Amino acid sequence: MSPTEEILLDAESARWELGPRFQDEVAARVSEEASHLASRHMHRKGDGSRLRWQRGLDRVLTSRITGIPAMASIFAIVLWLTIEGSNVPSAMLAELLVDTLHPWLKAHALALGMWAWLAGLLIDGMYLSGAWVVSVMLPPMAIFFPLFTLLEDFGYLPRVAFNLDRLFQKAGAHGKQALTMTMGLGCNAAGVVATRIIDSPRERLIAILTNNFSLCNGRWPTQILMATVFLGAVAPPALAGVVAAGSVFCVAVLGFLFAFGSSWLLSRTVLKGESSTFSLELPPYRPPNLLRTLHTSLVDRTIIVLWRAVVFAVPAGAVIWLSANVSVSGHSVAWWAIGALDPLAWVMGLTGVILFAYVIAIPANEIVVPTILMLTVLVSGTPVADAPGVGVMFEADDSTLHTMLVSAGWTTLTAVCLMLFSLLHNPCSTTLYTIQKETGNWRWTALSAALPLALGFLVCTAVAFVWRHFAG
Amino acid sequence: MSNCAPTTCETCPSPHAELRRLGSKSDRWDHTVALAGNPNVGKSTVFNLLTGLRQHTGNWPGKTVSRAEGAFDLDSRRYKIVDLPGTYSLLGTTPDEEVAREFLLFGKPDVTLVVADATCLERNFILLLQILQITPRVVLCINLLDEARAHGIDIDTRGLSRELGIPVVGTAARRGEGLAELLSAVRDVATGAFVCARQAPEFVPAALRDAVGKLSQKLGATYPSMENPSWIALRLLEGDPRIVAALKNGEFSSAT
Amino acid sequence: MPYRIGESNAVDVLQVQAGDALKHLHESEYSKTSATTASVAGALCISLQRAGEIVGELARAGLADSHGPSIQLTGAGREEARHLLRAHRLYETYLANETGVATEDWHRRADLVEHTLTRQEVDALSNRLGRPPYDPHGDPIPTRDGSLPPQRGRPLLEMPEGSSAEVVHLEDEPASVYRQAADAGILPGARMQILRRGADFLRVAVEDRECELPLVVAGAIQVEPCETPPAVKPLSSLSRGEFGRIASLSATLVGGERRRMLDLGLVPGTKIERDFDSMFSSPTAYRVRGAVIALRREQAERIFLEA
Repeated sequence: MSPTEEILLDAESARWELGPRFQDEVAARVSEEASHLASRHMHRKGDGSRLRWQRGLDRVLTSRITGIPAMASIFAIVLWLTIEGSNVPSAMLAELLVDTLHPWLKAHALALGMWAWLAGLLIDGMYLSGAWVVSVMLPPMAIFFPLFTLLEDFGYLPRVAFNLDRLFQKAGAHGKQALTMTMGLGCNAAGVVATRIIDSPRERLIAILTNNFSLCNGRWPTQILMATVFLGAVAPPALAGVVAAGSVFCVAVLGFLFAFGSSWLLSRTVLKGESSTFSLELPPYRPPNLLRTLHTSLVDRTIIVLWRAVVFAVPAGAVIWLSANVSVSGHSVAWWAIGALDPLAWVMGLTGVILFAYVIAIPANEIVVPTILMLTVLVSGTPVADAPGVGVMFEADDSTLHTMLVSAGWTTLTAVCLMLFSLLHNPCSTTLYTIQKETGNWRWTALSAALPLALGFLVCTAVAFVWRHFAG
Repeated sequence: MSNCAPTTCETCPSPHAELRRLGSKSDRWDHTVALAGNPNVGKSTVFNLLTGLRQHTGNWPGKTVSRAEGAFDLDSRRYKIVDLPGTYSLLGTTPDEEVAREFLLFGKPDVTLVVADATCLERNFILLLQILQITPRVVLCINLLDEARAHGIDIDTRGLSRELGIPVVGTAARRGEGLAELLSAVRDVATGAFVCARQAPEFVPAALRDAVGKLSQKLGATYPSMENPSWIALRLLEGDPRIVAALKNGEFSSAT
Repeated sequence: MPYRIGESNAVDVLQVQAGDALKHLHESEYSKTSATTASVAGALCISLQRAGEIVGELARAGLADSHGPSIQLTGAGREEARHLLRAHRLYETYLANETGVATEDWHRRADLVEHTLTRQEVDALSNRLGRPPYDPHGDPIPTRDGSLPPQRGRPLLEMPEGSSAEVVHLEDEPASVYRQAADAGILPGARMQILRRGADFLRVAVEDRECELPLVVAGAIQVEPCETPPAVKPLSSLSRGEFGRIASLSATLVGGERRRMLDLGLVPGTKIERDFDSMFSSPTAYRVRGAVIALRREQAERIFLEA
């Protein structure tokens, strides 16, 4: 017998002298020694006013009466700053990258003698989808992530987890999921990475699988557009803005409800057997360092997330352009696919164009709206003044859009179902890729796509059915 | 030693002529430094201060999940520094604890820099004592001294150093305070100029002393290079899959 | 997780019954009581006739011997029984350490799997778990060469009124009995005081409360005498701003959860203060060793303070 095996056997036969509570004894001894060390060499002087101040703040931020208003207003301010603050830079980026640089590139490429199809593929397809993603995603993320990081550095976020843990516990989840869900409002891929703060395997999986129910900022444009163009238009003009904003807010809240519901379901079904523990430390409040926060949150989160999105969006742009420009038996690939998807789409209250747009725009939710517009023009042949050409993504003003979509057969039902489907569909490929990396498991990745997709199908179908039943 | 003037910030050029921060360029090195500590004690800030990297640091336990590596040059010797995930203990089974324990046991760091939160020493010392059971070559960095001062806490680093037999340095890493002392302590332990005098603390319950003693003697005889046979013996009695696997794979015998 | 696969394998009913009979014989030998065909029938919930057939089969296979009414294990039988016990207890340890399968399901699942694991698989499982000495119920796991420490403790029912005892073993079968004991917080490591013995119950004080155990439950508990445990109250009973000193952690805190508590410094003797509650009153923030730790109510109810 090898000496190693001998030692192992010795250990095995000697071990009966250990009681089952042996770990407790060792831990107690170590802790006792730690206390002695600290008490011998650490002295507290002064009045502890800092501690009292921190405790007072904790009472305010976690009490039943003041805690919820404080939390609601802090997050409302963060979201408001993100949405309002990103409007102007987003428009400027779009102006620069899409309206100015794109025609310039195209014109020069053609002038330099580049083949038209290659220029179309590279510039109308790949460049443009990348440009869309950057102009839609960069400003909100560059505002949201640093704000979030400031709250984090200050020490507020663990208090949010602390406050909401009871609700999440009822759904079988961890309070820290409140934070990963909030993070998901910025970007689901970032939200999935953020689940690392949850150290219990089951709760972490739940947080990963349900993060997609947080309406990420790539989907806000779809929501806002549909709400303004269709729902706001149904309301009296004075209320249009309120109705539009209110309906987007409702969809976001609906997303949180779905997250709770599916957390509850997951923790009682497929994840029943995963292990679970709870621990949460509330660190002292510390003044954040503004400059460093800006720097690290830009580098750590914004740029990395943006880079991943661009990497996925650029090839998708090529696919979108090709599907519109490669013909089979006299019609483009897109035309055939849309026709095939139409019956299913009708059942769900959508159109074939929308479903096809979701299929080819898997890489990034940001490009869904421009893709839908491009495909609508392609299929219906509606003449639109500023439509730049076949297979080219674009945006148009609200009234043009309304006319164009209505003439393509859209109704208020289509808009409502699109809003619901935009909330309830598979995560974008960036997020799926992140989920695969974080869980290391294809089954969970598949489930994270199948769950919202199935819910989306059910919810849209039910809404369409009820709507048609009562409307007609 | 803790109240010397704050001098640097990480964006300014370092006043210590001999320190060159090398970011993540760590292809070859003379010494390995492991950076361990409880979650949220400013470990990543210390790491950034030493390497010039900008790893994200948040006031939130559990930020650093996988380990990060960086490097710096000091007195023309190159140090690789490994930032381990923050853990409360080395005995648990969470992935973080496994990563940290794995590196301390099998990564063979020349110096283990334990970062402790000055405002919460009593809890932080639990991990320190556990690490001292594995390796004596430890430098204790008592960080967040600025916070502690605001709380009216006074820490006797010299007394601690005498009692523990290891260098103890007070820092406020966010302001770059204490960097010079920290560097010289790390260098002294790495080069052997400072020999850590700490006897491995014994936390073996009385009933087990015999069994542990016999087993660690055997371990010591079979693996002369093993630093911590009594800790390994205790883990074997308790049943640690990684230690059993390491014995079977001969990871202890190949150690130098 | 390779070890889960075994559960779905169809298992030969005969083989299972023979195995269970072997375990019963081993249990009787270990606790120094005698096994009979009737006790086999009772333990396996089968007819006397079927029990007789099984004992006959075991005897033919050279695993058991009968001397008059009492049945004994042969050397080979003991070896086989300990292999089954080792497989069973290791698998329970695996379920406890690496999955979140509910405590009351461990036994049933392990019962299904123990018959399907070969000796090599059991050795691999043991190495993977770090050759653990005890299963999650606190029972010793036989080593590879089949060694087991002598049975500790004595039946709880033998303890006189007024005495104190520490639980060292709890029969995990039948499941309903196990659950009743576990729900009362009576798991290995728990300390109790025997208050009164009634006609069909035993009244005991466990940690911060008293309960009446039906005799069938009390009969499944093995104990060792200990000092009278001090009076305790749960951590959750502290009011805001009040201090306490930790006396013990409940025996129901096991595995990773217990480990985490110990690592945070929540060990006996530690001073702890209830600081503030969250807006839904659970979790609550406690100040301990200079840190603020949030504990859910269910956790705070299982940490006991000196009363």
